[in-house]
Amino acid sequence: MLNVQAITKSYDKNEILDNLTFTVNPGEIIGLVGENGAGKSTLLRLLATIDKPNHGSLTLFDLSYKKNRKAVRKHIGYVPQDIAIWEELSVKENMQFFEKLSFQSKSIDELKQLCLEMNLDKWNDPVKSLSGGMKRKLNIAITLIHSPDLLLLDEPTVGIDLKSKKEIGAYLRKLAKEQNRMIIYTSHDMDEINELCDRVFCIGNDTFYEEILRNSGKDVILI
Amino acid sequence: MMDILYTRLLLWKKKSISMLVWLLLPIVGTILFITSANAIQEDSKVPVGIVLEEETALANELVDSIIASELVFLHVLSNDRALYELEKHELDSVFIIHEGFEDAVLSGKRNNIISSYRTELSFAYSPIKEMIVSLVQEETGRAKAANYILAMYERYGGTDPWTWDEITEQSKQKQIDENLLNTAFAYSSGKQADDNPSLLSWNAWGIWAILSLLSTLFLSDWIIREKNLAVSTRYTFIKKSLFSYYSQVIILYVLLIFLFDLLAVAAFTIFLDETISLSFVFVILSFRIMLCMLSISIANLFQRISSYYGISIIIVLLLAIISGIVIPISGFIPQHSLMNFINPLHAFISGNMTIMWNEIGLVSITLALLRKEISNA
Ligand SMILES: Nc1ncnc2c1ncn2[C@@H]1O[C@H](COP(=O)(O)OP(=O)(O)OP(=O)(O)O)[C@@H](O)[C@H]1O
Ligand SMILES: [Mg+2]
Repeated sequence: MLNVQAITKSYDKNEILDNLTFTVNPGEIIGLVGENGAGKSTLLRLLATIDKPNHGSLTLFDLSYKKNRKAVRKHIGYVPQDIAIWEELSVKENMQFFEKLSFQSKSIDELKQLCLEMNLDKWNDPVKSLSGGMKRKLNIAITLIHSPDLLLLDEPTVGIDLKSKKEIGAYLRKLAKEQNRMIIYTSHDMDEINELCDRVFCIGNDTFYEEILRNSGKDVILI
Repeated sequence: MMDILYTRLLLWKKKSISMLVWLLLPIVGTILFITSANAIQEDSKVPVGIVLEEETALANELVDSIIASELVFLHVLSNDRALYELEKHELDSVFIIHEGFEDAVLSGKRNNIISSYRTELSFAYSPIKEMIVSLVQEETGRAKAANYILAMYERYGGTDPWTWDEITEQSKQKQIDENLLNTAFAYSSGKQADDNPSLLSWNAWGIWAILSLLSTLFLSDWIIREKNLAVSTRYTFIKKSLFSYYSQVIILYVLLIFLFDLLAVAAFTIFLDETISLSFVFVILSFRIMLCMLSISIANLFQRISSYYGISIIIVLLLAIISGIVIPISGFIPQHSLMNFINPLHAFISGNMTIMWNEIGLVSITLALLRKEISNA
């Protein structure tokens, strides 16, 4: 379980996140919505231990972010908004590269399987030659190598065709429901949010998205 | 370590060509530079003809000592041929050693034993004439002395007299000893004698040091590239700390480049006739570590690769000049000990272990890595 207690984040005097409190339970998929610059990426970076809040506390499975940072990281998978893969390597080599550095070791078959589950079958192609959607899939697959319990995805499906979106969505749902992972992800696609998420957080007390989503019967929380 | 090696090999494989170019540049560049410099030196030697009317030991000795002086490119020719080529200006000047040269010298005569020809275009004539005259003088002087001593023995009937050969040998040895003393003195006062053969051999490693500096700086650009890649955000979620990850990558780079340093040792032994002692391998290793540490520390200060390349080139030119490797500046700028002190290449070029700059490099790289580690904690 992820527990967020009254966190605040500001850059210089510019307050981005103001006193956020929420919890996420295993098996839950949380959608994070808000306008550009609302602070979605900032919140994900705090949850991913990449950045630190000015105030407030974070715990994951009772591990404090402050005291057990290293241990917390083993449970976290973070998919950054920018695609973080080696362009010059092939899909296979990218998977091997990060497997060698990963908290968990996996066989080459397991790595291949991970890609196939998302319909990424271009195993030996250099990443340079892949489409944007394929790269996004690989971006997620690499993050899953160490089987993280808390998966944080920053606009993972931007610029992807509908079919690939559905494939990725289905896979994320499977991870949450069958393996009890927690998933938090951001998107500007309300249909996708609607279809995939159990709950939605509207960041920055934004009522615009709240109204849209409430009409479709979602559990929407302003944070 | 094996894991890191595996991941690096994946990346190195993809840019193997550009890496090989940089890794081989110091070796190939030095060999090309030295061989072409030698060729130019050969070419720029003045062609001089010599005609031997007699093939005596003394005549040959004269020829050998002119060749050994390395001032001229000496052609031994027939009389007609020599004069023909002189007319065509293919020879700067021609010297003819007449029949009876040895006898004349040994009997102390110095007149009309050599004649010489030149054209209005000869410019090496005077210095060469001086050289030959002084060589002949040396020989005749030595012969005179020997004859004189032998005559003394005969007159006073000494037992077991020295032979003529023993006396001249003795006097030559004395001359060599004195010359050696001269050279040693000149060397320690900071001016290197031009005919010191070891000057050439230091130049090879000097050129290599400059090219190595350049190639190491350019091989260290990965630290900027990776810093700017989104991939680096993933390093927060690996089993190693950033400090240990980066220090292992750096060690792999040092080992890889050092492998090519050893290749340079082998190549220079084969192509440049360099002989290298085992201790010199450690001198190279200390130099290599320093180059890598400084390059990576400098690269780490930059965000943009192009400005890093620019600064790298300036650093290389600056150090090449103050090291006096490419342009011998010792004549123009006095060799300040301060300049040598701050020059990271100085220790290596003078054949010593790099110690101070190595420590500076290690400290700065450690600080840079610790900063990375703390900002990630
Ligand atoms: N390192 C930083 N230094 C200063 N300001 C920052 C920094 N990172 C983000 N910000 C500011 O914080 C605010 C929130 O940025 P953030 O990237 O979290 O928004 P977002 O909700 O992810 O937007 P988008 O939908 O465009 O991705 C922005 O105004 C941004 O300018
Ligand atoms: Mg964002």
